[in-house]
Amino acid sequence: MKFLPSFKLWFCPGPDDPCHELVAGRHFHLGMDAFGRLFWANPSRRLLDFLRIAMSVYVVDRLVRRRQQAQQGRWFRSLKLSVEVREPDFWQDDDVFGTLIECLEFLSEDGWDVTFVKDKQDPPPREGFLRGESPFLAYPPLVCLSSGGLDSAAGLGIRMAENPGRPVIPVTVWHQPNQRESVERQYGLLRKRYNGATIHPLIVKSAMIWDSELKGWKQEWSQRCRSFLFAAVGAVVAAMSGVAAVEVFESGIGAINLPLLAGMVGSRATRGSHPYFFHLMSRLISAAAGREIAFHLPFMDKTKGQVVAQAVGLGLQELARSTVSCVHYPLRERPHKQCGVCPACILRRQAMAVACIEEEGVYKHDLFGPDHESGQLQEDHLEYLKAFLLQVVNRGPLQSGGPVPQRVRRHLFATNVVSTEESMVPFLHLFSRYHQEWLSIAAEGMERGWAWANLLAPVGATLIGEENHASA
Amino acid sequence: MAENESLNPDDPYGRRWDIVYRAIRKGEPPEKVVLRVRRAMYQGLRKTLKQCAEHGVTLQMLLDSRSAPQVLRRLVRKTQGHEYVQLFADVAAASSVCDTEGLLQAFVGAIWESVGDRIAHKVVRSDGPMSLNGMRDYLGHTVEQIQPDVDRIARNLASNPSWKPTLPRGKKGEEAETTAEILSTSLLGN
Repeated sequence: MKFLPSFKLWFCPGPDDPCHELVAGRHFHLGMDAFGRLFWANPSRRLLDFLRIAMSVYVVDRLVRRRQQAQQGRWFRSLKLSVEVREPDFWQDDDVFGTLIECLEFLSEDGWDVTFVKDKQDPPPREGFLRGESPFLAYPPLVCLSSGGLDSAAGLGIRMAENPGRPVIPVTVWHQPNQRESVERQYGLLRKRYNGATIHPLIVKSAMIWDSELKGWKQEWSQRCRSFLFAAVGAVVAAMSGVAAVEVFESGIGAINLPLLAGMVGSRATRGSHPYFFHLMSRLISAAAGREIAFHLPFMDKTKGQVVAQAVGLGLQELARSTVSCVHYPLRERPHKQCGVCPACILRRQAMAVACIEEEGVYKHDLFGPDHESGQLQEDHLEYLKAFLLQVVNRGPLQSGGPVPQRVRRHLFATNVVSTEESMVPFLHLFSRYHQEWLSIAAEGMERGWAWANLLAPVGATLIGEENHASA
Repeated sequence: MAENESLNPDDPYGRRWDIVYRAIRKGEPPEKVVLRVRRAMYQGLRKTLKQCAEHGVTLQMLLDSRSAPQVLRRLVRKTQGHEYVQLFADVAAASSVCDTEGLLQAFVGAIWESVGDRIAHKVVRSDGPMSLNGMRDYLGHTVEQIQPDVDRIARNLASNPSWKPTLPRGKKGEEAETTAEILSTSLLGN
């Protein structure tokens, strides 16, 4: 069954650059057969259009490199994209189009010019369900995004405990073979834990076909719009399952993702799980599906550490350990799976420490372990950790009930997390808990002699290593 | 068209802030560091306003759009994602109750906050003499010292958005000294 008829897209990397034409199936691939296996149906043509747009955005985001990777000031790109769709009039509607552009620009912090070209191919793909209706209408499933990361696995485990017997459709869009294996292993653990729970994974492959005319192209490393494709696939699954929600298991800290340094842009300030991004995606899928479908973040009021601790309370330690967070994964440096020093690894380690889960031999550089004693950690390895700790220091006044730091206010208002002073309160509580978690870890670090704990020392305190200098 | 000013001392177009970073790292006296911050702030703003005009965006347009995030978003885009303009848009979102002068105060103050974060991140080391808390106190001191300039810039721009931010003349030769410093800094880094 052919679910995604070939289509074309055209893009220009910059306002004065020549355009390129790419063809689905020849230059890139989205594994739409996964929908057929689960639903025995095609997405409607509008939903199919949505997936085409999402895949096109992903492809262009991946192929157009930002000018200077290391320099955040050169982050912005002016991208032009044209996509072949079946219903261009629908996508050009002011509301839908405005939402789409706002969503893309919010997510990637680029400028997007998108146009649509009528796909005149015949015949149109077979639409609708072969047996008349969604096979899931009798008992609506829990549809969620599942990346294979710590939050999504822990969150899924918690939500399954809260919804006993309810079928689950976790949606994964994978671009690395290990990712598929990782989520399948997690579902195995969950079936075991919940006694044969009904899990119908929908796992979609998204890939560039590099041995085509794309040979020699270098890809952009940030790839922020991967989240757009991921969310679009989840949204289409919700539409086809007959449910009104797509759940996203991300902690409030990860979702809001306050920039580590004030004014920071770029991949380290990703908005891939941001509530406003999901608000815009909800509007898009609701328009395309013709009914209300919303993304939900059930763990918005929790830190990552709290989510993991809750999962541990349900006996899901092994599940947590089986996950991967590292942005460099797969590290390809046996026996280590993860680097231990990138932002994702640091936030994971922080959460695992809060939940009292020990991990040994997993990280190439162990910020929370014996590497300190053997002197294997160099200052370079602390770059991101230092940024996390600087954020902790800069948020300090929240602890004493003082005024809200301007950087926190700016982010919450500018990214539409809040619209009034009062609505900031729950988020300030969340940040305070997170702050306290870090202080506790640093206090333990001081006791155990982790040199980085010096970074959080109060002014005038004796730093680790100073006693030795003094005695010498 | 010239490349946009940057708030990042590591960026070739944020070199004026690199000078401040180097001064702090070298341990220059605080009053000298504050002077460098003031110079960089005035010059960076002046250059930014000039660049924005080249992009077809004036401060007046930004001020007129302060309550219209969609319009501000278009202006940010028109300036090719200029960091200062993005910062202005963020500040505007969080300053809806301020008058124009208050908004500009918050914006100009946020410039040094943004740069200060990056400098703190570069200066502090786990084996160094100063913790992040110590650095925060140090930067807090500079914030107090530059506040009269922040207020002055905000006041002048609020009354005349075409005003070109200029450091009040102090000792003779002050501006020339700054220019010489910038020129002597390799754009390729050390």
